[in-house]
Amino acid sequence: MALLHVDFFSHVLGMEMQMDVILPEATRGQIGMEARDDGGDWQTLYLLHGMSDDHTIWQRRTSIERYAADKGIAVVMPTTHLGWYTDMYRGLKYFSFAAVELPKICRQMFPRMSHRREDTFAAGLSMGGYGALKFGLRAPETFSRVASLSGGLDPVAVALREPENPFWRDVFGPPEQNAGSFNDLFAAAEALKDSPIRPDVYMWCGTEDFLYDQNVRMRDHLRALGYNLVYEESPGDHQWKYWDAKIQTVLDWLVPGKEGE
Amino acid sequence: MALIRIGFFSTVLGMCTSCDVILPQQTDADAPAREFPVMYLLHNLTKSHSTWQRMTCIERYALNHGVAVVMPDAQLSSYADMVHGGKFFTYIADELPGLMRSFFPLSSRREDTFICGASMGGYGALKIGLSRPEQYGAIGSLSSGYTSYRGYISRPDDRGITLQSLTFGETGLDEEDVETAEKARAIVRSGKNIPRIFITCGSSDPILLDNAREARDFFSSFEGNPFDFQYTEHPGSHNWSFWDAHICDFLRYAGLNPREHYC
Repeated sequence: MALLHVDFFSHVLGMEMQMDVILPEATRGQIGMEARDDGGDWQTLYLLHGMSDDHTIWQRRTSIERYAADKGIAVVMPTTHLGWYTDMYRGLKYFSFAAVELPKICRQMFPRMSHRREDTFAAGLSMGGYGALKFGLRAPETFSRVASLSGGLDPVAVALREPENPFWRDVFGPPEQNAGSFNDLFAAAEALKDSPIRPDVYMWCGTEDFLYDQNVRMRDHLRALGYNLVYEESPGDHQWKYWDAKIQTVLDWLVPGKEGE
Repeated sequence: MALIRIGFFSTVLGMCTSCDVILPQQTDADAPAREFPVMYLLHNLTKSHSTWQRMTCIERYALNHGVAVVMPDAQLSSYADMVHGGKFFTYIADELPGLMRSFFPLSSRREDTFICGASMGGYGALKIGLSRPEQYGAIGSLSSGYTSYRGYISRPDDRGITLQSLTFGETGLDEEDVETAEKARAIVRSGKNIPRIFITCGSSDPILLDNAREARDFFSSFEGNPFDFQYTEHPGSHNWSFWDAHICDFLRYAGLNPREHYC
């Protein structure tokens, strides 16, 4: 595997951005691991960070490079600041950047990244879980499978509870306009009810997580709408010990039958 | 323009190594992907893959010339397959280009592929370029010739060990110098895939001016100038301000058209 630290320019955001990228590289003779590259186009996972974190965090808190090596999959980890994967009401267009522009930039920069929907995935934790599900529901033409770990799946409800907090308003706009908006994932799931292109969804949340209730509601909502959903929960709260374990489950779900040999 | 710091496993070196890559970005994200010309840019003794980025404005120059830049790490190897150390010659000449093309949209055309460096890197560029003339359209050396500088690497450390002996063994340096010259003659005899060669040196370079002039005399000795050889001296010494000032001379020599407004 190769680990790339990329500084690049986003036209959508109008500024320099950073991402860490893991690319498949067939290696032999590396102590303690073998990495695979099966030739052809690479499946690509857009792996999203949570609030307080950046593009480096998955690399630092988990062994994501080793897990990806077993699968021969490319992993793109952009920084998205505190943008909630949203075209902010008072701020930058982080959804358009991360869900729309970034895959195009990556496919230009790394020609072996597959252009195919069925090879393009998103996953993330907390705010990034919201982002991943949003990528699947609001950009389903690009992302075929998305995974949320401890996702903040209903920030619209959070914003409504804190109407005076300028942060939520800057991100999502006036709280009374949030329900049913582009950023409301419950509405987004509803909008794709009859669409021929719907993402497959994986969700995990710890039962002690402060976001557990939101996850249960989203689970029930997606099931009622007939989404292809794998839902798991287990004892746990909101921390990396679980995300390090569960991202491996996500990779097995995304790329079945390619466990390390 | 993207600056990419890459760490990967080199099978030739048998270890993970670092490489900085500067890649032009297309202004239209919806446009079809295109391939870029590429310059392999080699660092000098005591430095690493990150030095060109840190000591010069190479990213801006690459942007202005529309060229990708690959800056590998060769440690203190003189770009040799070290007798006691890594096979840096083989890594950079034979493994790195394929690896880079597998990662990035780089042209594989010989006329779009260049190799250049400063001091030890210029020596390495001439050695690698003349050994693989089918890969490079132009070779550039800033402040170095094709024979290695013996002063620094022949100094013994506190154990009496020299870099020269680690790198070349006891007699290998002389042999490599002879080999490189012979490769140049063989390329001219073959009449095909003759790379263009550019050397520039500071006129007050206290270290390698003689070395550069030796190369000037050698490459100028071929009838009809088959290498399209260009040699210049400019005021300056053996340092990064000279290399920052003159790396664009090579980019222009290589045929890359600068956007003059920014140069």
